[in-house]
Amino acid sequence: MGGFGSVFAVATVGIIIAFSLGAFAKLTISYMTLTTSMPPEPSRPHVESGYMQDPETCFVNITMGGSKGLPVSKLGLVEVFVAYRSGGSLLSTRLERDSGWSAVRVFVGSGAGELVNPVDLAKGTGIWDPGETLELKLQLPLPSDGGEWYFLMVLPDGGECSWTFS
Amino acid sequence: MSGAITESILTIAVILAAATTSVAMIQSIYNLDSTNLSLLDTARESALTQFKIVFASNSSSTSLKLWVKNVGLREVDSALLGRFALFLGPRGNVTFVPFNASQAPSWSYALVNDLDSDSWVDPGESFEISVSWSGELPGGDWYARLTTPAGAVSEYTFSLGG
Repeated sequence: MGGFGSVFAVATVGIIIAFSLGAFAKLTISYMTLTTSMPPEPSRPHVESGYMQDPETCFVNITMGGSKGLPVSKLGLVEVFVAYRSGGSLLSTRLERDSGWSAVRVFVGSGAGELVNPVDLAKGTGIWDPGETLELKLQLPLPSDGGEWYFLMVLPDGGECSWTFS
Repeated sequence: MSGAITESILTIAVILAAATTSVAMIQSIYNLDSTNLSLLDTARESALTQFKIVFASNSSSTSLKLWVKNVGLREVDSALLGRFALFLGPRGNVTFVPFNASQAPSWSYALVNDLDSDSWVDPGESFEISVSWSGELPGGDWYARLTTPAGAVSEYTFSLGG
């Protein structure tokens, strides 16, 4: 009889341990699912240079940093903002693609063209890879008074870069 | 004979104690597991629907605009954007701004780059929040906070004037 009690007690402890392990396994799987649900690290573009060609036209060179690129097909999801003075007052606005900003070319260093995932802006193919520089042409809605102007670019994944030119 | 009875009673007592303990512990483990799974689901939902205020500026002396990008992994029906909670104001006077209210302050939205024209805010797409402010916009530092129904929060600080 006493032997049966011991066996029962051991079996009970075994069931509790099995339940605990099951719960722990479920939790681990959930944490792993949560980890994979987290958005990946955003891209890291940075402004290389820029200049104002005339009061309504600017050019900006942005180099992709980090470890991941941006497919050219997703350039339509890029947001570009500028802030500058026009007619004596401060103007901060978002530029529309095509009418406000457009991609001119993608190049590496000082040379034209690129080897990795070549970009064809007309076809919308290729990838703006890390290390490559994208040249943007900005068409300002109102002429600038000159002086300082601010540029902000936000990529689809939230990665962004900005610069104040003077 | 009395020894056998005592042993039987003790055995039954041990079995009852073990059974009670096991039921209580299994119940506790089950509750803990459910709570944790629920918390993880909430955190997962919040992580999937991430929005980021990327820029803000005044569009007139009594209105301003904020641009918000979907930087999460899940698309959101634009019809649900009205359920977002917007808190906005100059520092020290931040207030809740209701959606589509009959009087200012109030905010409305417009999709700015709905590339596939499906009226959903897909990952990477943005929308523009237009805020009608009650009176002239005071210059200085402003604070904006946008909260999704899932609890994800985006905060943004900007300056007006100058």
